[in-house]
Amino acid sequence: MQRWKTILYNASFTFNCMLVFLLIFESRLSLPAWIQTVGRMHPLLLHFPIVLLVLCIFWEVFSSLKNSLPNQQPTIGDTLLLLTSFTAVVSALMGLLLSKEAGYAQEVLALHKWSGVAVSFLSFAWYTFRHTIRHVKIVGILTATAAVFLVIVTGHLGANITHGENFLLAPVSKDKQAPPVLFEDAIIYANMVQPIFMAKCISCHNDKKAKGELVMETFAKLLKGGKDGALWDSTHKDLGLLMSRLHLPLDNKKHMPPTGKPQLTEDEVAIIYHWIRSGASDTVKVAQLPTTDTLRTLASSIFNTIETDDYAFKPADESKIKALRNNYRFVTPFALGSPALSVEFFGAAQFKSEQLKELLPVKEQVVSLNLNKIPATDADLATIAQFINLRKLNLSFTNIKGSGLAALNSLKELKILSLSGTGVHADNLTVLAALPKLTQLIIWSTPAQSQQLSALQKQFKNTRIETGFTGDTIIIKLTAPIIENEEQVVLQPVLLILKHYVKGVTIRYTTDGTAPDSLLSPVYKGDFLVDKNMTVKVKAFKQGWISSEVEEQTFYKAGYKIDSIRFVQPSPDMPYKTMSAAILADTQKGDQNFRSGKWIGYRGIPMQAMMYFEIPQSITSVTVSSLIDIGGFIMPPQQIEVWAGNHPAKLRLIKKINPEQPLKNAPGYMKGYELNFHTVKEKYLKVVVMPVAKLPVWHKGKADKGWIFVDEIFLN
Amino acid sequence: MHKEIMEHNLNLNRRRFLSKLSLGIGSVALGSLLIPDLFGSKSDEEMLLAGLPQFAPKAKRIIYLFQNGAPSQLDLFDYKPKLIEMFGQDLPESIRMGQRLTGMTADQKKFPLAGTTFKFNQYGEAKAWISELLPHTSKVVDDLCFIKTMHTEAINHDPALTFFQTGAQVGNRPSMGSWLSYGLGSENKNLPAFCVLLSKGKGNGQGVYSKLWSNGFLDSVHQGVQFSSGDNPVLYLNNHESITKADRRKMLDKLEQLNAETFKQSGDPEINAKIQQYEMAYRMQTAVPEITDLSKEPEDIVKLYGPDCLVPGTYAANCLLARKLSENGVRFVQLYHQGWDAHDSLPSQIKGQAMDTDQASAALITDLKQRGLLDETLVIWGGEFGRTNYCQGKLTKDNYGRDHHPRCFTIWMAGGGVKPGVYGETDEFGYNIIKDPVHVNDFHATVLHLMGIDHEKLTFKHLGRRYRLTDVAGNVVKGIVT
Repeated sequence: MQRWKTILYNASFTFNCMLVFLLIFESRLSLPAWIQTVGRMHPLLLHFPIVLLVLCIFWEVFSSLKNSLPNQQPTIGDTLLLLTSFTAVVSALMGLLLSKEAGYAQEVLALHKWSGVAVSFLSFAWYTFRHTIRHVKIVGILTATAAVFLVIVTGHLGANITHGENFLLAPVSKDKQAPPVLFEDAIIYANMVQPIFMAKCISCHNDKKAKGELVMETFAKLLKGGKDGALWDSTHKDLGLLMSRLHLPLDNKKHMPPTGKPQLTEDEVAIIYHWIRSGASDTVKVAQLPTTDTLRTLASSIFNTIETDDYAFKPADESKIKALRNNYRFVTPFALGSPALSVEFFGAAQFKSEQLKELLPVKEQVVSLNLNKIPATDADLATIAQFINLRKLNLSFTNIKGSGLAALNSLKELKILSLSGTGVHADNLTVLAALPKLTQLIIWSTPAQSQQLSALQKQFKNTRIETGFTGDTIIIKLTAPIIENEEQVVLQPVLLILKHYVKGVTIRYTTDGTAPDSLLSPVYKGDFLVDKNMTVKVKAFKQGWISSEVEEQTFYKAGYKIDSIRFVQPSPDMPYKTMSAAILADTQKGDQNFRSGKWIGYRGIPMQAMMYFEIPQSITSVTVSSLIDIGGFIMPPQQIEVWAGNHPAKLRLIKKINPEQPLKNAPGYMKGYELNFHTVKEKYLKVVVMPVAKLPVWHKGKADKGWIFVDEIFLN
Repeated sequence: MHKEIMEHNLNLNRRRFLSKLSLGIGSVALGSLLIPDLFGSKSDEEMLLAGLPQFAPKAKRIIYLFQNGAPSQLDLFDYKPKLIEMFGQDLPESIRMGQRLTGMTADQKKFPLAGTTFKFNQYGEAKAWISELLPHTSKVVDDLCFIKTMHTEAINHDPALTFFQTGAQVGNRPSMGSWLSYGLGSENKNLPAFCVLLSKGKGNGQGVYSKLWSNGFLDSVHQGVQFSSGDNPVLYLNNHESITKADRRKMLDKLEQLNAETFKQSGDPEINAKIQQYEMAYRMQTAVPEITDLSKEPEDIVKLYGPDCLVPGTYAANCLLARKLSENGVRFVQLYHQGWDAHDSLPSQIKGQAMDTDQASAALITDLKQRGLLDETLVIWGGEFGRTNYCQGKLTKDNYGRDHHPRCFTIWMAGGGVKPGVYGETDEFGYNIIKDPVHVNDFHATVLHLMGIDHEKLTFKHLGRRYRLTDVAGNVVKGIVT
């Protein structure tokens, strides 16, 4: 143990001598690389002497105070002093070596160096003369005081060099609590660029420690640049040194900030890039930039606009808020812990002016009030005027006429006011021009909307007046009327029921197959009867609108009930082969889908439907309702025949038609073929529908057999 | 003597115990100074019960215009002249990088690039590209924030849709609207907090199912209420013909007495919840017909949304209804419009779809704005994924189809707290994202953020663990938030 102490003591002595020597010849020092490494270990070791010295001071002071109890363990104090002395001198030496590296402000460095050396010498002297010092109380106290003083000064100066000035007190100093910069006031350099330098660069590029001879503390010093020249050159392709250093890959030695230090975010790089590109001014404000500018967009995520608020008032009592809340009045804080209240009214029928007055106990806290569609009147504005902290007031579609608006001038904080759908005139609004913070005034669907808007806008300098949409000049097309009759097959005459959702339209109709005309066609009045086979076409008209498309519906009159119906020969194809002929007499129309089960198809052979009547009826017409889908090989029938007689074997031909065949492809449609003849009154009636034997040559299935599809047969 | 010593020792022990204890407690007290909300603070779940945003919200309500079936971003928003230039050429393998395809095109030998046949122009301050299919949307561009880099994990409709709506590809999780109802409650106590409206276009449709507006494991009050078109928008809400309003009131009063009695016996809080729901349904009987009556809308509004808006069940009518519900304090209005799934004949299908949706979507923005509501309402427009840049099936000069493409697609948002502009960038083929990707989880995190909710704090404990809408992922996309 004693041996180690001797060695340490001797080493301390040696190093102190060396320290003196190096200090004398400091200006001539030249350091090999490995020595630099030793120097850089200074931050590692320096904490030892600090802690040990503090321990020593405590030990010495307390043991000397307790005179009555003789120092039981003098060796502990000795060992502490010796270790202090040794680590102090080694730290001092290393510090001296480190100080030779570039980039430190000489002024602070010098102070730190000398105080550090003093610590080393003092601790060595303390150990050497420890017996004498312990004997004379006053010397002991002086030594301890000096040691405390020196270690604090040295430590603080050293920390300032490493972490930057005022590192310690920054969190409690005033600049930290400076009010947030508003978007409207922000200067690009001072509020966007400089803060990035301060956060990410300044620790190495400050007045005290100017790595690469670059100081980034003020704009003037930035302009000066560093060892390698100016920081930016907006004419250069990559905008100069600063940007190229930022853009180097992270593992490149010249990349800034160096590996291990906090890196710039993508947005921060973008801010600096666009700032340099736009000329690197130190005075331009964000608000001066054009609205599409990238810097401006970047800025909008950094700065609060006026909209975010720090509320100066106290929150209202929670129970008070709860008591004000009911099914038709929603009172709620903006967020957990926010003093600001938002109030919304619902249910116009429930509203009474008292409900507004009930809010007066929280009048300071109400920041947003929504009375949309509530029958509040101008008289209520006097109550609303007492909510002095209102930021947003929605009075849309209230019964306000405008005479009471002057009261709202007390709302000095008001930013958004909506008066849409009220009766206010432009004259009523001028009183609001005095509102200092009003940014948005909405007057859609009011008399004011169309009155001297430009004159009004002149009075409201900082307010955007929203007028919203007007349909006067817009001409658009009406939707087609809706034919509400669901049954296409009418047994008895029925009223045609048409409907249109747009108010004030005129619906005109035709039954002759032409499109309804805006002047000549009859106007639908609700009294038109469908009493025979007809195609009704309808169209809607209205002043200021483009008239609608034509909507149409074909109706079939089924005058007689067929008692029984059967096929003479079933359809040769599945699934029609097994279908009963009854579907032709069930008054159920099919749609365009021939697979719906309401259609029966024949191909190759004619469909022969034999009908039987218990009591013979006078029949003058037969209608065959069929489907045509040329692309699907379904053609109009080649021929339709009607036969009648009193016995199935003794029928005579009553009527025969040959429907027109198409000459080219066309979309699918349904058509009823009507065969009229002189009155027939027989027990049996047979309808024969023949499909085309061969599809025409222009058809993709030419020479193939055509189909016919029939869903109903109507007799009249 | 012995007794005194014992007493002394006992005193000593007591003193030591107390002094040590005071030290221990003192240190804990000191430490607690650094944890301001250690005492009297509430757990996340307790905080949720307050039904308040955790920080000042930018939006109070959401209207989500879901374009079901996946609209083609390449024919609407994401303009890629390169695809027109390389029309018919094969998609380079360097771009596709062997990424997953659906079963519908996986067997295709070639992936011919199909440039859009529609004309594009730039609109607004942001110079956003919009195709001629959306003439009305292009007029409100300055209010819209286009996210061009949405991407999702699912490649088929149902999982993708479920993922968007619930944050998970499998079913049974609460829908977005349910989460918001759970987190923020209802503003208007006379209407449900979460309403659903359906409509159908003429294009190839994909189903929507009630699982998309399910409350999952949350309380059933948070379930979405579907409003159907017609005389009876909310099923089972109207009184039976033989029951008058007074009768109903009497019945509810009696029922409440009975329920209150049972509550006294069992103390089950569900009973009180039940009473409240009956009362709300009673109030809805008046509130719903008022809202769903579109006949009193002025002509300006009809022209704004288009005349279809008066025809019940159309997208336009649903947009108008969405505005009415939202302005009446409904927290979350969810629309679904079907028909965007154009695997073939895309040019003709998308024309119809755009015609059905363009005017009303834009109208909704204008309408909210002119009522002073846009700044507190968040409107979202988008599908469940995008469509491929290559053709599915046969490519001709003016006809093509597009398959599902989850790796990039465009949605837009507007209103409450979103920054108008264009966010993110896709490559020149419109196949991969090259800048600022936004995952579905990020989208959810951002939407909740705009509503004043930290997506990591909106949780619900179920089956032994805490669930959230973003589950274990998601970051707020700061770039689109004002």
